Amino acid sequence: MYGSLIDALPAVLSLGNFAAVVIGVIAGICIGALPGLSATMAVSVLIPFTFGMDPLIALGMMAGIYNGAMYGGSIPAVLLRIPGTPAAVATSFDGYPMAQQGKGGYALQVSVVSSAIGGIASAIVLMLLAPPLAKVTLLFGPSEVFWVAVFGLSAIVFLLGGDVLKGLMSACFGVFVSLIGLDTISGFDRYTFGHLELLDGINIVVLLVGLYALPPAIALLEEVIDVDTSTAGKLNTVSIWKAIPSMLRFWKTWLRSAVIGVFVGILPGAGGSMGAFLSYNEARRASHNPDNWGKGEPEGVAASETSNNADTASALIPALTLGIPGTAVAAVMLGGLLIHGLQPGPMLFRDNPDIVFGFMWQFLFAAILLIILGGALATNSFAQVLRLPRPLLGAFIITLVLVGVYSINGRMFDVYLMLGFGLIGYFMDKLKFPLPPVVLGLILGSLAEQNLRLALRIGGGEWGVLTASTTSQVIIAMILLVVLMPLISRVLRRNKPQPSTS
Amino acid sequence: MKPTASKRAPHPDLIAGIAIMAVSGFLLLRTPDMPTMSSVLPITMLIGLIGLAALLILRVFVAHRSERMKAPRHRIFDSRPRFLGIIASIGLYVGSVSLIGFYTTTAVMVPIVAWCFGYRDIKRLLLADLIFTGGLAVIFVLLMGQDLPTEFFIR
Repeated sequence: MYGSLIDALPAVLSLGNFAAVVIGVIAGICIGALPGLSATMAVSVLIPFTFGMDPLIALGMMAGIYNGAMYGGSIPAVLLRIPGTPAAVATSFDGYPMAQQGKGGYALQVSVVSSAIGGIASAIVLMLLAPPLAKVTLLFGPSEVFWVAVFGLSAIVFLLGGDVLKGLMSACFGVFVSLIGLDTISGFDRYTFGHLELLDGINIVVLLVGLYALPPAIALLEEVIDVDTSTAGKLNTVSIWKAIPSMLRFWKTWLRSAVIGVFVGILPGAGGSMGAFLSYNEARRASHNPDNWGKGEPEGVAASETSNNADTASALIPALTLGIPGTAVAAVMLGGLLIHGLQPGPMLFRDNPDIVFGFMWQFLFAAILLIILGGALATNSFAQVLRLPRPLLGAFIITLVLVGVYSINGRMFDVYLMLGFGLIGYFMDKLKFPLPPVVLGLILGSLAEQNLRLALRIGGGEWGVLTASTTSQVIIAMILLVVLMPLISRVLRRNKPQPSTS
Repeated sequence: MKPTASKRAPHPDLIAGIAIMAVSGFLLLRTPDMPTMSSVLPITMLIGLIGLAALLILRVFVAHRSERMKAPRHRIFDSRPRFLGIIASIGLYVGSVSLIGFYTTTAVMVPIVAWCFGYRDIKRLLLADLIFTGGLAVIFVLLMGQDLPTEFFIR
């Protein structure tokens, strides 16, 4: 089972593939460091440019960007108390007070080492868990795959938190978009309105770029933010190798936060910020001096950064084996796999082991590279990224987005479609409609439909076939659990006696 | 106390709910032409969207009178004129790319847009523009060999 893992290593170590990971990590750190730009946006913008590349090079860049951006988000969180990514919010609690005490460089070093440890743990778990899980999923028939798709959608809607009503609407919208185009079973074209470009359905990259890359670029031009970066580049850091011994006392926090991060990453819809907050709280609870937390405790930075990087590769466990991404970035990466003709699921492990296992190695190398590239010298350099003017950056990103989408098929129709999705994404974002369910709906909607119809055809039109097998029943029980759990916990919270304030 | 302008305006969720219901209703009208099995999921999703949009609208009205139910009023635009300016710029850019070519449009539009939206350092702006447009040309012409809308002067 793990033999393919070793076989994939030489290809990953080739110059081109390794350079792709290095470039990805550097780009990811720079993008993550810019407030308002996320890993999701970065990977969305990158995907169209990878269209003509070797799949492993493209995936290496994505793995690098994902890991780099998760660490990069901590740079403005520590130096300016502006989290570069949502997952870096908890990092600012202790990172910024450290910077105010003149320990900003050390805070970033703790952050980069912790990020690397989280990323390494996550990559190892991906390598260990994904292959056996893929073998299990080979046993799934159409009805089981249908229920897995329903599970993925319900999990992301109900575990994402926030407004469930809006989450459900987002998922319905995503599923509906997945139905546009030629129905592969009946041959009827649905909602193409006579446009031949829509017969193959909506290209996932067009949707991803529109939803995730255009709204932040518009925000860069729309919001007038005057950030004082005058002290951001002066960190007075020592070599990272000299700083590491003083961090070894965080080993328990690293271990605990890595476990939390990996677990949260596997859960569809949870993601980095939830993991970072959980880890921060747990580390604080376990600390001997909880009163120091929030006032510049480096262990707080270690907890949140380990966790938000530990969900990177682990989010790909359900994504690669079942086609259900754990985080928004994993959803975007699924899009990246699809445009290279790689269908996520158990067959991916059988048909393209060199690519899928190579991708896992690339995650591991990207995490290790964080220490080298995000070390003392680099940290000083990357802090300069904060000085990039937002209007110029916004104009650049919009241009990249437009040219990237155009280059996929060489037609303006995709650009118009992307602009439409961009506007929808902008308003959804402002009205707090969650975006991950849309992407998951697009990925899982057609999968669910095809397998539902296939199962019904096999079962001679009997709906009972959907619930006949034990595996289907187990997945249905999991769906009920995911749907009912938030409702039950809400009722329990409401019935819990409130502590007296008098 | 006099209600503020934003409080007097319709709740954004109300507008979103009505828009979703209208679009879903229109799309639902196309399903009778479809074969039965092809129309099952579209009908389910569209009816689901209409039902959920109705709940969204209902929630706005209930939240108006109830303390327990919440329908937060989210701000849509940070600056409406800037947003309209961005949309107009994107429209102009896309239109110009087809008319006068990709590289010419990019070289002209990027500095103009950045300048209009607040970055006024002309020297750095032009240098960044040169590097950016040149970089794109290197990527698309040399590395990817990809044809982009041709420049008007070499057609």
